Order: sequence, then structure tokens, then C-alpha cells
Amino acid sequence: MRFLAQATSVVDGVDGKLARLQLPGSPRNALLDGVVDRLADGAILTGLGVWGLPDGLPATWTVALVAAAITTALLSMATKDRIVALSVAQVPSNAPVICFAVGTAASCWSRSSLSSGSQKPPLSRLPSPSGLGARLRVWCV
Amino acid sequence: MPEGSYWQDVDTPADVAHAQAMLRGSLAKPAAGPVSRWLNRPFSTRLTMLLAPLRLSPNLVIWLVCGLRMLAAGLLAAGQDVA
Repeated sequence: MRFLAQATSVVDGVDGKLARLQLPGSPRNALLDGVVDRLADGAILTGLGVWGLPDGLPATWTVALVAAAITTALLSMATKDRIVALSVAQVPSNAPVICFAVGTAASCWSRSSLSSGSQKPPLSRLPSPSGLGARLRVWCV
Repeated sequence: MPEGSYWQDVDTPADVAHAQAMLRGSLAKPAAGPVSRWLNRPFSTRLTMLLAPLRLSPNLVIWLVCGLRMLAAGLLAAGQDVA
């Protein structure tokens, strides 16, 4: 179960691919998938926040970080969708790489905190930049 | 047949394997990011091909995955098997 959160992001890609195999794909399915995915993103980020509550920072900071993570995760997808819908610009292809780098750096920092004494990584100190960063954090634990 | 689709004769087991490989390759989205392309996709496309014969409804899979992710969120919140 350790990698369940990351494993579900792998399995999350299966529904769309199954829909494409069973032609024709339905826009309603895609809409439902997007909405349910955002709900699950919020739940996972909230779970991470609850896990981190007993550690380190005051609860106010933890709540603020979780709120920021959920907001940026939602904003990331909403902005990308709007960019595509309005054709105002190309979605920057290097954005996921930047998120990956930030998420990995945050994970390594948290891991080093884990190995330096505390039994539980001080998650509440993790300034997750997006849902991706949080998932990478879970993936690297 | 939708435009852009392909077809091939399937007469031998080798043809079946080739057709499956072509189908799996067609599942990739060209605009996917590096995490999707290199980490998630190799697993999700293979899993899709394994599940395809069951003809599961995509909506059913959406809700199943949602349930799994909610379970993951609950386990994270409980601090179960994370550290």
C-alpha cells in the first residue's frame, strides 16, 4: 500500500485509454473523469495535510500549505484547459519538468529530514508547489 | 472507420502481436508530459491492454480509481504505511 497514491495515478490513465479503444470516446466521460480526478486530488492533498498536522509547523501553516497545494493543483489544470479551449497560447512543454524538479528537490529535502532523526518526515514543512509535487513526494517516500 | 484509423490483416499469431503493439502505441497522447510519458504510460498502456478484453465501462473504471484514490487519501491521513 506504500505506493498506492502513485499507483492510482498510473491506473488513472486507464479509463481514458479504454474509452479510446472502445470507439467512440464520449466527451461526457472525459468531463466526468476530469471532475472526479480533481476531487481525488483534493482528497489526497488533504490526506497529506492531515498526516503532517502533528509535525513541525503550527496547524495554521499546515492548513495554509494544503490550501495552497489544492489551489495550485486546481489552477494548473484549469489554466491548461482554458489555454487549450481559447487557443491563446501553447501549453509550455517545460512546465512539468519544472514541477518534477521542484517536487523531487522537496522530496529529497524531506527524506534528508527523515534520516536525520525524526521517525516521521515533517510533511507540514513541505511547500508543495502543485498536486504533482505532492504525488512525487509520496512516490519518493 | 474513423479518419486516421488503421487496419491490418490478422492471419497469424505474429499478426495478432503486431496489431496489439500498434493498438498500444495508438493509446499515447502526443501532448503528454514527461512524468506521464516515461513513468505512468508504460504501465497504464499495458494495463489497458490487459483489461481491454473485459470490455469494462470507462465510467466504471473512473469510479473504481476514484475509490482507490480516496482510500489512499484516507491511509495518508491515518499515517498508515507511509513512512
